[in-house]
Amino acid sequence: MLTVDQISRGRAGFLLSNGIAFAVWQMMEIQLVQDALVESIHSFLSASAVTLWTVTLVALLAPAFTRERTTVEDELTRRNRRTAFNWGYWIFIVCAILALFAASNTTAPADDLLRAVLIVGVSAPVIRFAVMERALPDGE
Amino acid sequence: MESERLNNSMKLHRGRAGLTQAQLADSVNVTRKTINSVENGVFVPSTVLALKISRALQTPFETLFSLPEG
Repeated sequence: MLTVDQISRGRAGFLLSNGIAFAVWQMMEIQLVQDALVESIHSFLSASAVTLWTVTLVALLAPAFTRERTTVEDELTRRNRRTAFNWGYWIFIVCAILALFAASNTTAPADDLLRAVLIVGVSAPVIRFAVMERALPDGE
Repeated sequence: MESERLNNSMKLHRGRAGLTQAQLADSVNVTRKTINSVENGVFVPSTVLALKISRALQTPFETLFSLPEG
């Protein structure tokens, strides 16, 4: 039987993988990245990232994580989530300003710029939250 | 703005009660990380959690928690 700590760390691990997989998957859709990578490497990374993202998403919805939700979702977790998503909001705003600047001054495709904003806006807070949740407490 | 601080003597009273962090965490329905963060002053618990901890350790709230001097 898994302890609440193991469930909590497991969930954070899946969240971390999910955030990274999403970022890699979406980066593979950016034209600049597609041009820079060899076709076979691009296909491999893209397929791996989508698979990992799907697997981790399904895992996060598994009963092992949802059943213990009331205990795992304690107030430290809620604070960590609030901190991570507040931080993510500001990162998202900065990224949106940079994208606006790039769109106004370069010929970069708009869909690539928007995808970059999406990657940062979605992945950054998820990864930060997962890292905060995985931080190991000191011993007894 | 100065960040919130709350002194506590949880480690001492938890030791007296013969409880591990994990056991205390179980009894108040939080993770061990939360207990550890409160003990080390990294996280200021809500009033409800602080009262639950004080009840679990059978120690008066004001003995367990105090505001920093000054």
